[in-house]
Amino acid sequence: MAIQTSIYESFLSASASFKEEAGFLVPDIVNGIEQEYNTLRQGMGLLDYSSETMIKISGEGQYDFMEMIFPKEVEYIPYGQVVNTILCDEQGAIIAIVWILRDDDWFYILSDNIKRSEIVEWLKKYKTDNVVIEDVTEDFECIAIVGPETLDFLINYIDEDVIGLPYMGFEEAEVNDINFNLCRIGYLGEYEYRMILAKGEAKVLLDDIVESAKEFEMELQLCGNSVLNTLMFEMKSVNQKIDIGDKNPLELGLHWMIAFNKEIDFIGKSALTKMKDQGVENKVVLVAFDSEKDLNQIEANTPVFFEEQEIGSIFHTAYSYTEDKLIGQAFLDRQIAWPDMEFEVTTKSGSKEKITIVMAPLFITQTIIKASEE
Amino acid sequence: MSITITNEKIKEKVQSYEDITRRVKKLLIERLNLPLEVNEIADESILFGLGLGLDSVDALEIAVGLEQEFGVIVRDEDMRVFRSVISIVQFIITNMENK
Repeated sequence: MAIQTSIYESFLSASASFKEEAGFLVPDIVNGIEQEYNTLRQGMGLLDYSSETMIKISGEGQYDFMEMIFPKEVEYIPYGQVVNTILCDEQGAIIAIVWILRDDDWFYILSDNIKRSEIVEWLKKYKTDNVVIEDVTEDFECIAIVGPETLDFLINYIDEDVIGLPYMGFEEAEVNDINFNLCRIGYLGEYEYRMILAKGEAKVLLDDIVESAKEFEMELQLCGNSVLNTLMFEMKSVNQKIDIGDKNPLELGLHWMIAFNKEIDFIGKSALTKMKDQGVENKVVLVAFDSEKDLNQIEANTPVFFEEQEIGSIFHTAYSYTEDKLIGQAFLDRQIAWPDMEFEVTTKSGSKEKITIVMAPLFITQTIIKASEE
Repeated sequence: MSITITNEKIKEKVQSYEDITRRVKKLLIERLNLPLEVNEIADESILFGLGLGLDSVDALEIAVGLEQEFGVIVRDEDMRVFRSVISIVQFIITNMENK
């Protein structure tokens, strides 16, 4: 039976629909995609991230293990810092995109819920006797608050010191006797703070947050997880539930997740180095449709043409409310995949549609504007 | 697969993008002492936060470098330039076209 978190009832009362994902009932949509989109891009929304994968790595051999497994330097991550990297196999293919949190004497690995069993299986495959691997996903719950108003809220709710928590950082926090780990990570282009706490305790925290928001006269809405795809899309963040397929890390533009000069021989190192030296023939780019706005008109793997030559395909589409445009992620021949280049696709109804490569992120978000003004 | 480009203007544009992208990556590496090679930076690499992880001091250094290398001046209102490597490239190309 799918797990209901302690805040399931709160979302249910708000008329959320739910989806079963990785053994959890995850809030899918609460107030409609467009409204939730506007909330997260202009205000402040609260989401249930409790189903996200969380693995704890500890033991005497944890440092050597982590250095061998991941293509980024991990041993010297300072306490309270987060690193974003990939888990890949010997051929350099991505198993999962992960966040690595460095805690006192252990590491936490966070990832999307659908990657849980793959990550655990892979880690256990390479586990040595002096390493302890624990899947603690079901031992914790997680509330995320997302949006440009989030930091102002947290300054009031927690205290001013929260300003000092950098992006890719985490720290212990306590409000009204509720203890949690506050973690600032995300791919949405907005302030995104995750509050990780023991299983069963999220309800007390949620109720406290909702009451406090009312007291501060700040609007806070519950949001489902479905809308997150669009926000990630606009930032060209890789949604590992949809975007990876058989594309390699460099085709996805994830060079920065790999430390090619890392001395230790990590899994996939020689394959990734070869990929880098050979270069990629194709890459993922963001495209905007000239006039078509109906998502249903573009099928998965719609071919893309340049001067009547097929140069790739569109594998993912979303509607950007900010830009009022249909946008797509296309996997195209690198030779021609430059900004403002125009290509052609055929819609489901048979009409020719022009698409243009656009730069990512698609726009500067309210969070970035606010942060630069402060 | 080799793409055939018949339009001369597009051919030139593609060549410009290739050339300037390589030069911008080299500039970033040299100016900011990044422990990277040119082919370790994605064309769409984000400059700040996730991506290259640069900061506002680096942005100033980049602006100076762009002026010296390409003769383009980045003003305060050109904030968008510093979204990604390719946004810098596009800014340079647009400025060059407008001269």
